[in-house]
Amino acid sequence: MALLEVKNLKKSFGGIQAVNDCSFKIEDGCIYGLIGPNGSGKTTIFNLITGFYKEDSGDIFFRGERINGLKPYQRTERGIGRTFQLVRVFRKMKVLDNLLVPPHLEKLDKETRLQKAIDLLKFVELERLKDELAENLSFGQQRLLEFAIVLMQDPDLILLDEPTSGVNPALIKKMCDNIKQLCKEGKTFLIIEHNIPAIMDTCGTVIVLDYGRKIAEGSGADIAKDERVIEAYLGAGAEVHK
Amino acid sequence: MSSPSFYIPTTILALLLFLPLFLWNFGSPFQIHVMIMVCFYAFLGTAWNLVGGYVGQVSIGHSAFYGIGAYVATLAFLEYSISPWLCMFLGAISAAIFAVSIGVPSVRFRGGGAFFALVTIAFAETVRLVFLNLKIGGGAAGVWMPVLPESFLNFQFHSSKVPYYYIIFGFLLAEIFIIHRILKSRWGYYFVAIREDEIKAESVGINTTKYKLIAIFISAFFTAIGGVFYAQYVLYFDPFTVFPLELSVYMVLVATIGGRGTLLGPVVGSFILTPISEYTRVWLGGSFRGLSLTVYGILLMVIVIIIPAGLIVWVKKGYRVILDSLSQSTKHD
Ligand SMILES: Nc1ncnc2c1ncn2[C@@H]1O[C@H](COP(=O)(O)OP(=O)(O)O)[C@@H](O)[C@H]1O
Ligand SMILES: [Mg+2]
Repeated sequence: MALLEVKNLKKSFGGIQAVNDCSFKIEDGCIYGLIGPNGSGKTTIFNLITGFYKEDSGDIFFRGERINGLKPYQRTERGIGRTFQLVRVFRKMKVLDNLLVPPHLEKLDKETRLQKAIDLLKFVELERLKDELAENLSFGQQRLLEFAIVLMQDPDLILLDEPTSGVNPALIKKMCDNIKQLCKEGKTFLIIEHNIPAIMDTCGTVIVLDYGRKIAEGSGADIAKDERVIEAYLGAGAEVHK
Repeated sequence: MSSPSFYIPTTILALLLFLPLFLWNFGSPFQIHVMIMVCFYAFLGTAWNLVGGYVGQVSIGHSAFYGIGAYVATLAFLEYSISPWLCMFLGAISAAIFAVSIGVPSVRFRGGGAFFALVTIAFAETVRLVFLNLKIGGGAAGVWMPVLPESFLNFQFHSSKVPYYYIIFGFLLAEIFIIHRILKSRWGYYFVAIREDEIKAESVGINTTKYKLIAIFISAFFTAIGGVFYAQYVLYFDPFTVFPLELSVYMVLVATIGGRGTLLGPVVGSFILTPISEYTRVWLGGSFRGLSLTVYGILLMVIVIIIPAGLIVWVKKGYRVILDSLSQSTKHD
């Protein structure tokens, strides 16, 4: 059984068909890329999977359970975690406290919880800023903080919306390594990423969207050769290899 | 023991404990009344602050819970002649349950902003009109508490107001302690997370509706206790005195001037605002109800613009300075 299955998903805003009859499967323990030109519906798909938008039609299954209609927090409880394209952190909370928010942590005792938070802060190189208010971090640092928060939730499926934008290149490399490592430990990732080379390196399977439709799916190498993909990107004025 | 960080708070606490006795002997009953009101509004402001300051749901309808507390407790007492303390509990629970039931539709609107504020005003006004027009407890004629022999058990004192002071002072300490404990628990994280970013809070797994309602329940519970205290203190009230919009606004004001979302902000706010408000009420003859609402509104805007974090910021700074200079001088001794 697939970890996540999306079937014939549709969502429109007024006249815009943001997601148009999309279907795909996400298998356990792999890394998936979701790419496509600006406005092709990537973020909307995340919002549909996590329950922030209600689909017009279609089904979403997580571990075989139909999760349409569940509230966002209920989907999080089931093991879906996400980050946001426009970073969201708890701005007037300290960096360390941000990591201690997820209710999932109720299962752990206080020391373990704290240790886990400190370890993650070390990993994203924010430990020395742990007593700083989140709003005082740079945009890139807030992104890393958000990445650390989602890992605190210990989800099985992690959706990352443009996780590397604004993050410095050295840390991007580290982030990719860590995603691979987490993948080996059984986590599954679906990553929206404009930074194509980075995703070719990390993602096993790439799903390509254009105007809300899935136009291709395959390994990074196959996708790079796919004419429709090249056309979609060139048509939108972007380059595949930049 | 001899460090300033110990003896300064202790001295303040001792002053608050003994000042009313001093005033009873050397001051005027009105001064005692002002001190009671200071604690009373600090108590109400602290109750509001849980929902308005920590969870960020700016209610301007808390007078509804206050009035329901006063009515339920007093009518229960008149009907069943049970202990006024038990009646107080009944009033508080009723108001809290009512708060949750109106909270269910209200908290759906994400962000707790202007819309939530308007909805809460509308609810509170509706409640007032219901009590007025359905003549619950006598409608506009109001409710009289029968005068009982003075005793703690009867929650009535006639020869001196000082016992009322100790009751509300005790209530305030207990309330601050309980809310402090709640904020230190996991709930504290959820409350503040909802205020900071409701969408993010939901996304990390917080049932935002549930925790908003929990906060509203606790806040309404304490607010209603304030209402019951007031009923016992004056022994007469009507829908106009326990459901005024002014009261709802005053609760917001006390917390905001002192410092929203800080534990002692509402206390600081009440200590500064309530004496001013009580003395001007006497000087102006209490006939300027409309005026006071205007003044409150202007004050609120000025505060939000000049010191959005509240006066507690200055109080803390001043306290630091005093503490530092005192510990400096003790070192030199
Ligand atoms: N909340 C919304 N209201 C109206 N239109 C929206 C909303 N969210 C997304 N859209 C529209 O849907 C389309 C897809 O947007 P989005 O999913 O954000 O694209 P991507 O993430 O691929 O850049 C765009 O045309 C966008 O303007
Ligand atoms: Mg997007």
